[in-house]
Amino acid sequence: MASYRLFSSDSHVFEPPDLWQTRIEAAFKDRAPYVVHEDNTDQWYADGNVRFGLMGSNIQAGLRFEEREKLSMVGRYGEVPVAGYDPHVRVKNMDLDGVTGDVLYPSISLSGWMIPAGDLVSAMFRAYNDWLAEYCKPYPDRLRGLAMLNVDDVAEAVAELERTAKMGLGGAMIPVGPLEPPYYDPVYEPLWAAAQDLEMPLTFHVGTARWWPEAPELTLKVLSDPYELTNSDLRARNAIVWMMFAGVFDRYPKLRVGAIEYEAAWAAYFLDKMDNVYTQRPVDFVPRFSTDAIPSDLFHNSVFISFQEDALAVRLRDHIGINCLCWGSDYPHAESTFPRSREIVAGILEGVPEDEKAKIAGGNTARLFRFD
Amino acid sequence: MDEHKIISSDSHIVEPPGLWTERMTGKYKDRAPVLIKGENDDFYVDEKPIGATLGGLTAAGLRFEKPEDIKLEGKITGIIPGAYEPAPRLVDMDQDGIHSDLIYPSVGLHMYSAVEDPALTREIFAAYNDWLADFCSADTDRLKGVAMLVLDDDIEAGIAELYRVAKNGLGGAMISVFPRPGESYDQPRYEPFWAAAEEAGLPISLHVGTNRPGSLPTPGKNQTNVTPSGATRANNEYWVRMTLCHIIFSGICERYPTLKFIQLEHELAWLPFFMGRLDYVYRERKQLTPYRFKDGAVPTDFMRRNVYHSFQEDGLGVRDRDIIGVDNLCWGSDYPHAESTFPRSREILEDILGDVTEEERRKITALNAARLYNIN
Repeated sequence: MASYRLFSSDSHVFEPPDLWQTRIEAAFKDRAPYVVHEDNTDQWYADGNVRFGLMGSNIQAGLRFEEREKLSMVGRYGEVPVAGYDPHVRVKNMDLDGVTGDVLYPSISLSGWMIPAGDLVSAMFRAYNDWLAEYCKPYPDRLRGLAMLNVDDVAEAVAELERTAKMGLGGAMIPVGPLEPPYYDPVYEPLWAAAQDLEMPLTFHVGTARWWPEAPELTLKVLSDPYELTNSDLRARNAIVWMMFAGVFDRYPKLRVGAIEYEAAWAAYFLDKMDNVYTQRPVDFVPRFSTDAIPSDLFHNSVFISFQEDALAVRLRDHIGINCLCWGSDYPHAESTFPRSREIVAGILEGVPEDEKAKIAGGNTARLFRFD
Repeated sequence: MDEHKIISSDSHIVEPPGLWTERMTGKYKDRAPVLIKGENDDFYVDEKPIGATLGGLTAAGLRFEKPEDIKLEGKITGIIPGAYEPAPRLVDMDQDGIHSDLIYPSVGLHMYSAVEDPALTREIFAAYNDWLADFCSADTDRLKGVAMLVLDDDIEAGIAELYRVAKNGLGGAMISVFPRPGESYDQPRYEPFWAAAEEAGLPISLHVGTNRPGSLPTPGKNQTNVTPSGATRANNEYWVRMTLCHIIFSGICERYPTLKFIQLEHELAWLPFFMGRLDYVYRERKQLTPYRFKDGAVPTDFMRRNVYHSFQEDGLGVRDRDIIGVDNLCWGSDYPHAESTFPRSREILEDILGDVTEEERRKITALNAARLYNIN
């Protein structure tokens, strides 16, 4: 029996089919998301006929170990694991999988940022955040839900961050690529300040680029295009490097930012490269920080990375930063390590000193999301 | 080759001011790139500056003395003679312990992204390729030129130029790191080029910073922005990764088993993660990767057989050499650019190859490049 505890930095709830019909504010009732029982799948729509949300791969935990060829992007609500919307069942399954705590992300709403109408996205997220806070309420020691924020309007995002912090949510997701401008822009300054003051980590989850008008189909490309999928770490790296070189981590040393489900071994090269650009390229490429810190120092203080089975990242852990690496189960999605999390974590951490194992398997996540 | 001598897989010349005006003839003569002097000198094409960053091209060694003085703008007068004349270059190579240089352009690299008209680009590159063959003729074993090619709208013309430069003694050929806007190298129209490159026996180079005009998205759009800023620099291996995905997933390396690619000046340490992702996506996302390799091969098999990597001083990448493939690594000095290891190449190699075995060191600093380019 391993001596360390598992905290999953990346697990998912599953939105019940009536979530928005029953909860969205009255003004948005007619545009609220709804499910259609189609020939080969249950399909979500919002704002009339805008398709979003993936069913299949979001509910197929364990299938990759048994029948990989059955993995698909389609599915039915009848197949959704009850744990996705019932916290009591989840906690039992966590016990079965040997997991002490789960940081919770959405499933269907992950692609909510691809819905063009910003006012509807914000209303959807408010309803989801209310539902998620209720889901987590019975198990404050085991479950930590993260709010969803629409950052089209930064003042509105800050208000929602404050509201959800009061409701007990443990951090917030922002899109890995905002509508515009990118995260280097001063317009986001109030969001960084609020997240620091509220001790709410902000995270970029894979597949969360905001819809943009010139090429709306690109927003889901990261999930459906093998080239984008192979190189998806570049999305997270763009978000982080814009913040880094704009001095965000220098000005807000207590802000915490996470890259979720991009795996982690990319960070080793990325850190070297940022340091190289900062220290060896012409100084007009990057404004100077207020201290002698270089980018890797700021990264080690401010950024964390959630990964599942990246053995290479474990090999490179001294370079990436032992306090930056957070294992995640991705339960109940198709990529999940459930129900073999203990076995898989033990495998990828083999040969790692005990204190480092404890950090990567759960200690870092427990610290960042204040589980203890 | 002396067993203590090394090969630089990525070195550069700097084009002399009159290269194009003296060599271009016919209908494109009036549009030849011309050097215009001013506060900062630059080459102009069709009356537009190409942003040749002459300062950065000529500051070899400055990073060791006064890195804060590195400026991308500069004067053509600061260029060291070894950058454009073979005799002093061979002296510098001797000083730095280099047996052979694989030679790339400087100003010409910027032509890929600065000159829109593909027909004009083709003429500019042909004049350069002629000049380069003359330069290398001073010592064909030690000076190995790599030609510039543009494919764009006329792949047959690219193929003709490929055979022409092979006949003129050049050792390899570069294409833009990513094709013209809206295209990718896995499209069937590029297939004849891969066949020709294999037949001609020239390795195909993918060098950083050689995108065609318009293939770079503008800021704030699809989140893979490329602008001349620090942020872009930190993620600049994006384009070669996309191209390698297209080349590998479409089976080009399987169909042309002796075709070789070399990617340059993107360093190395992103490769272990990237190679893992290639195999992961191929194995776990079959519906997205419909081309299936024969005999159970996986993407990294082709990365190791067909793709070489030129780097300068990536200690982390060297540490991961078992994953990348020690037979695929080729060190390069980047002489005479600001990033160059000249004149401390052997000292820097000592540092980054500290725990590398003697056999591996010979491969990385000489034998892999010698095999790739048939250097004696």
